[in-house]
Parts: sequence; structure tokens; C-alpha cells
Amino acid sequence: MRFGVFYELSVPRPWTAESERTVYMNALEQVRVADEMGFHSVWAVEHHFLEEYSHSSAPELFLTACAMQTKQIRVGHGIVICVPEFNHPVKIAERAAVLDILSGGRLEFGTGRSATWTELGGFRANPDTTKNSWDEFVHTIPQMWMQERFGYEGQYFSMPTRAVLPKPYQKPHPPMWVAVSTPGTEMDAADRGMGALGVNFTTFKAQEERVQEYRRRIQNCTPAGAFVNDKLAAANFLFCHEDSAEGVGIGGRMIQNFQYLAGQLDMAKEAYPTKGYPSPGLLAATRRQASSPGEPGQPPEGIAIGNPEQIIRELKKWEAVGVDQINFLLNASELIPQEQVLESLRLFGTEVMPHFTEKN
Amino acid sequence: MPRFGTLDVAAALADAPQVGELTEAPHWELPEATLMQINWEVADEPSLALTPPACHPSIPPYLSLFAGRYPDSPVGAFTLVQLRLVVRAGIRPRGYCLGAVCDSAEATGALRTHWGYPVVHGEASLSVRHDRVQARAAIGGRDVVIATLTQPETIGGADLMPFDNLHLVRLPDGTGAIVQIDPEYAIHSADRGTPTLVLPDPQALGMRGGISLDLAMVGFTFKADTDLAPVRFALDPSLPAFQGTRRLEPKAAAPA
Repeated sequence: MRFGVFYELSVPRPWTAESERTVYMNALEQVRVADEMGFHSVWAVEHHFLEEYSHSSAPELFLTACAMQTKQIRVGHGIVICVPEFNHPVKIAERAAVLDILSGGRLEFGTGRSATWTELGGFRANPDTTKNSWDEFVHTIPQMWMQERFGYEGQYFSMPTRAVLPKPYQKPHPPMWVAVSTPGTEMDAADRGMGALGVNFTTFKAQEERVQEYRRRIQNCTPAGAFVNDKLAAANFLFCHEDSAEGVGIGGRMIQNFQYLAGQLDMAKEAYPTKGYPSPGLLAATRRQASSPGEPGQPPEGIAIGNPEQIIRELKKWEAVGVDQINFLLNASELIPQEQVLESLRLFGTEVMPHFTEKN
Repeated sequence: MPRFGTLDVAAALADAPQVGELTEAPHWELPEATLMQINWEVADEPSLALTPPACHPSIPPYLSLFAGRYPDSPVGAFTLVQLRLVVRAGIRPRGYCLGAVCDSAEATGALRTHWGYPVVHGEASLSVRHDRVQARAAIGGRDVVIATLTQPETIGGADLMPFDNLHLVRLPDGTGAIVQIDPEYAIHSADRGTPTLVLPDPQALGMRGGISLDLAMVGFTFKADTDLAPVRFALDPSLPAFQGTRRLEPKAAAPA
């Protein structure tokens, strides 16, 4: 089991001239501590227009800053939106390669397609076709990286032969992942030999069934890239405190706050009926659990809040169902003071991480 | 914390429907209804001023024109055309009804009294053609809305997520409330198409403050068995929904 941290970079109102800078600087400081504690990776989402919930619209820049300030921790796109109205695939390949070079070969390349009307409508993308364009991108981007020159005639983009430069530092290319926010997308990942990057917050019971099916399917995959990345990552929250009640109380408020903000998103299916988004995704799980922005209920099972013993117990359950990695959200809307976030990270690193086998 | 609406509730209540005892409302079965919804993004600031303080604006704000032709109800056939602003009560999307027109005087009275629809009696129609579905409403002979869905293509009923309604009402005790109307839908068929929306007199449908139509989103039509049940939830218009929502319990029968 290995551990990562991931960032939505939520910025609460009221917004001041310093609000966004504070969130970004706090995140960078947390990443430096995570690196010191031996975390495996830091992940950043790509979102646009999602007021307060996520101001992480240029993750490649944030991740570059992370890479420049750390030594070991890997930097992960969690994810890049593979929809032509958002990003041309050549630009995705180029930016990712630069990040891989600057980080010294530490890039994890997560892909996805956006799930909100706010974003899809904002770029005037067609919700019916995002899965198709994502599929085309994840099959062509590795070719851009591996071939000296690349040309292509496709459905969602075409280009004459050109040298797409630079090439990634990792050979043949960085590990590839797919964001999984709706049930079934794990199987898209498995069929393409890609890692499944869980970005919603599910129970380990639900996850267990998906893990088994993913492991079975990936045995017979046709890799989109040059190799199979057979890793499964789950998303979680982290607040570790010596005192159980403090840990659960503060962590619970963070979860409620995050879920309340997430519940404000206009999910694609909600505003635009389409087979392209067969379920509300993150929304459904969020609405089941969220009731108000600040009232903590019982922590859902498998959530890493509380004292070190509680967290070890919950994470062992994830390990038992076969999840390879857990990526933690550390804060939401800056609800938890920065010093407490850093203390939580350090306590986790010293008291919890040694109980898990794989060197992070 | 997400923004809250800035509607002047006291002023809005002056025009709000006066409802009767909500939990004693009838339960209307509405079989074989034909329904159409058109979603359209609108400008931010004016829509915030139409959103009650109990609710958050959606991001981005959008209107939801909802029309229904109900061939069979306890008061006979009627057509209802509503203009709704999509808001969030806590985290749940809801259609806050700004105004509506119904072609049946009897249905209009019942919809206002039992469920708090801000509806007026006028001309309302929902016509289904092979290549288009059109909702039209007029008051006193003047068109107030013409909404059309063209190029319909079949989609699955499970792809739809119809919103529940919210209505600002005056309760029998004189206080104000927002009530939630939450019909069930058994969807038989659905089509999605290209929307057009024309609002010759938006103020007649409660759209004050010069809301401008921004980006066409989608239109869809569906056939369903639906209903109108007694109101189960009421919100304090001035408190966040997560603080001010209460469940309405039917009055216990008097002891024999």
C-alpha cells in the first residue's frame, strides 16, 4: 500500500487578493512535508469555472512547482481533460513531457473527460462524445511520445506529420491512469491497461467488487500505451490527530464541507440528459452523505480520520480489498488551519505509514 | 460557503399564492402526461436577485421551462407551462417556479391553493408534431412564452433527471414559506432535441430584473405517469435550506 495527496485547491469565499495565493502556497508547503514523510505522489485535478470547489485549472503549473520543491514524491495529473474543446492532444503530450523532464521522470499521467455541465458547457463541449474523444486521446498521446514523428487522421483531431517535442524523460512514457468517478470506468481502465484512479469517495465494500473485476479484466487488456499499469488507487480524506475525538470532529467537518461544495456542481447528467454520463457519478455518493456544510455526522467507513490507531485500522481494510494506493484530500475550503494540516501529515508519516509494507 | 440568493422575500410574498392546509391537499394521479423541459443559461446577477435566501444559485444559473399536458386529472384535462429558475436547496437541485400559466380555471385554482403554484389562468398548449414539440402560453391574448424543441431523437428515460419544484407561498397563518413539490415520474419514452425559447413578456412569468437568455443548453420531452401529492417539506425562505427545512406531518385524525 502506498499513499498520495491530492488537491482540488478549493478557495472559500469571500475572495480577497490573497485568497488563491494562500491556498496555493499552503498546498506547496504540504507537498514539501509529504515528500519528507515519504508519500509516493501528489495529484492535482483539472477543473474550470468551479467556484470555491476547485481553482485548479492549470495543474501542470502547480505540479511543476511541486516537482521543483521536492526530491522524491511523484507528480500526478489527476487528471488532464481529454476533450478537444479543453485541450488539444498535442498540447497535452507536450506539457506532460516537459513536466516529466523537469521532475526528473516523476510524472504519473492521469486522464479523464470532465463530468460537470459547468465545465462542458463552458467550453461548449458535447457531453455525448467526451468518452470517445478521451479514448482517441489516450491511444494517440503515447504514440506522440514514442514516435519521432507523428501524424494522424481521426474523429476528434487530425494533424499532418510533425515531431511532437519534447519527449518524456521516462521511457517509453509515464504510467497512464484513468479517473474513475462513475461505476464502470474501472473497466475502461482495465481494458486499456491503465491504472484506475479513484476520484470519488466510496466504501471499501463497493470497492472490493470493482477491484476483483479490474484485476480479472486487465489480464486480457490491449494496452493503450506501451505497457500495462495495473494499479488501483482510491480517494480518501485524511486528518490524523493524537486525540480520537479531535481527529474525527475536525476531519468530519472537513468531509462535510467538501461534500457540500461538491454537491453544488451541476453534473452533466443533471443539466443535459445524455447516455455519455449514465450515472450522476460523484454527485450521487456526495448527496447521500452530505446534509450541511459544517455538521459532522458519523464518519463513513474506511475514512482516514481520527487517531493513528483508528486510521491504521481503516486503511488495513483498504489494503485487504486489494487497493494499491490511497490518495488523500487534506483540507477543504481551508477549514483546517495550515499548522494542523501539517501536524496531521507528520503524525501520519511517523505513526501510520510504517505499518504499511510498500516503501512509499 | 456558496453564495445565497438575494430575493427580497417580503416583497415577493405580496404576490405569492395563498395556500390552504397543505397536508390536507388531495393526491392527484396524472396519467399519460406529455412533458417538455428546456434549459437555458442566464446571466448571473439578475438571477441571484430572484433566488430566495434559502437557496444557492446554480453554477452557472439557468432557467428551466417546464410544460406539461395532463389529459386526465380530477379536474379534467389541463396544460401547465411554468418558468423555473434552477437553484440548490442545500445540495439538491430544484426548480424555483417564477411564474406559470394554466389553461383550466379549475386546475389553476387547485394548483395555487393546494400546491402553491404561482399560476394564472390563460392560454397554454403543448403540441407534439413529428419533427417538433412546442409549448406556448399567453395571458389575455398576449404571448408570454414560446418554447420549441426540434430534431427530437430518442433517449432513455433513465437519462432524465426531472427536478422537484419550489414555490414561495403564504401559509394560512399568514407567514411565508417555500414548499417543495416532488412528483413521481414513471417515464414511458423520452426524446432530446434542439431548444429555442422566446419570452415576449418575461415579467408576466415572474422574470423581473431583466434576465437575459445566454446559452441554450438542451431540450427534452417525455411521456410519463406522474402525480401531485400533498406537500411534505417546507423551507423558511430566509434561512439556509439545511437549517430551515421541516417535514410537514399530516394532522392526526380527531379521536372518535
